Amino acid sequence: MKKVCLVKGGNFVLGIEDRYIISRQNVMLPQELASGEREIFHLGSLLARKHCERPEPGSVFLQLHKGDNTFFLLVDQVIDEIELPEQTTRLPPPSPELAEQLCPQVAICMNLVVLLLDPAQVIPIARQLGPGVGLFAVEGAKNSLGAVAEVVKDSGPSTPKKQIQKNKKRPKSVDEETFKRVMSWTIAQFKQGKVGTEHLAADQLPPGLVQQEGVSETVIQYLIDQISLRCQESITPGRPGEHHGG
Amino acid sequence: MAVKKKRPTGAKAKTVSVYLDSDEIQGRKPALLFTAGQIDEVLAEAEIQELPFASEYLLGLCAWREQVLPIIDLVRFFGLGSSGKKEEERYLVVRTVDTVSPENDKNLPSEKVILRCILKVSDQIISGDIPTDCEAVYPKQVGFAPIFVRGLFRGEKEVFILPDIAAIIRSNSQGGVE
Repeated sequence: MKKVCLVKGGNFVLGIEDRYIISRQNVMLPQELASGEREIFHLGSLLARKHCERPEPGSVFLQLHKGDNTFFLLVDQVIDEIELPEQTTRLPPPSPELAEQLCPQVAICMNLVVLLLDPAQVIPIARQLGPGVGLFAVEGAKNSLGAVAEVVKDSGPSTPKKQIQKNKKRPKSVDEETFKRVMSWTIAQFKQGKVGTEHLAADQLPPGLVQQEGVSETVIQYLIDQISLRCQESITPGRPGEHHGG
Repeated sequence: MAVKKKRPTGAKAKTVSVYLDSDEIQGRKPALLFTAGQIDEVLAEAEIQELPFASEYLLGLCAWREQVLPIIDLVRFFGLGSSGKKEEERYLVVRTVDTVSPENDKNLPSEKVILRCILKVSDQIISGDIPTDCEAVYPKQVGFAPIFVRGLFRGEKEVFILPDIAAIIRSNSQGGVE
């Protein structure tokens, strides 16, 4: 079996083998952008043969590596992590040539077709499609990434700064409204694939709860319980308060 | 999925007529004509995985009995206009036999392979016999590229299209005449 990360780019859902993913992050640090001449590609734009104008809220940066290529791929969403059988097949005719290059292999999982992205083909195909197509320009990236960070922040509850600071000191209680805001924010984060293994390890979840499509109600309930527990911890005297922002 | 039975008089071979949800051709309703053996299954719905860079007629891919099959909209492929009526959709798993020559060794005999695809059609699927009172039509007369059609017949109310499924699957271009 091979581990595959299901990602969304525009209208398309593709699989990327875990072994090609070096890192996964919601925001890129300015020093990462300045550190080299790394290119950032935007999956949705690449597949739609257009320039990246503005990334979707909640976009995720994947650092991919295959062969001599290392680059960042900005995807709209990380949907799920699945296991696929080793046996794959080629795309059937009359699949377009570009699709055959970019996703030469396809697999079936739970009666669904999964196109497997070949990371080594992202750069050649972007070049083939024309200057700037599918490319998230590094020069403008700092501003745009600021926008990503803004959007990510905006997707959370609009908790006033003062309230967060107050909570950090030592919250005496968590009111119902705050609790609901935190809960909805966390669920949204999880649904958008932002809560990855680096934040919430798979073994922290009860086994067999992550379904093929989306997140099961049981997992959501589990998260709600976790938030509830953490909120309770945050009001326990003598323990540092936890802030609930993004 | 109910398949209606129809037995017109003077009929010969067993066929399945599948009506297309499209504009009329020469004032007649277009229908695909298959032999019963060409149809593997009629699906009420299909989980379509969209394919990047695909032509409009290639709706995507679908898993069927552990096989990955392309889903093709022949209305778009032949450049026919949609009727605009909201008809129920069906997905027809069809197969054909194609002859393939070995790429590396031309001395080897060519082999036959089964090709399959899924066609998006309307729910008007009629099993019956081919009417004998039909007149052959040259594909170009109705705007079809001849390579993709094995036959075209004009009946009293319908235009029957015998699509060349192998040619359509192997093609990278559309089936309308430019």
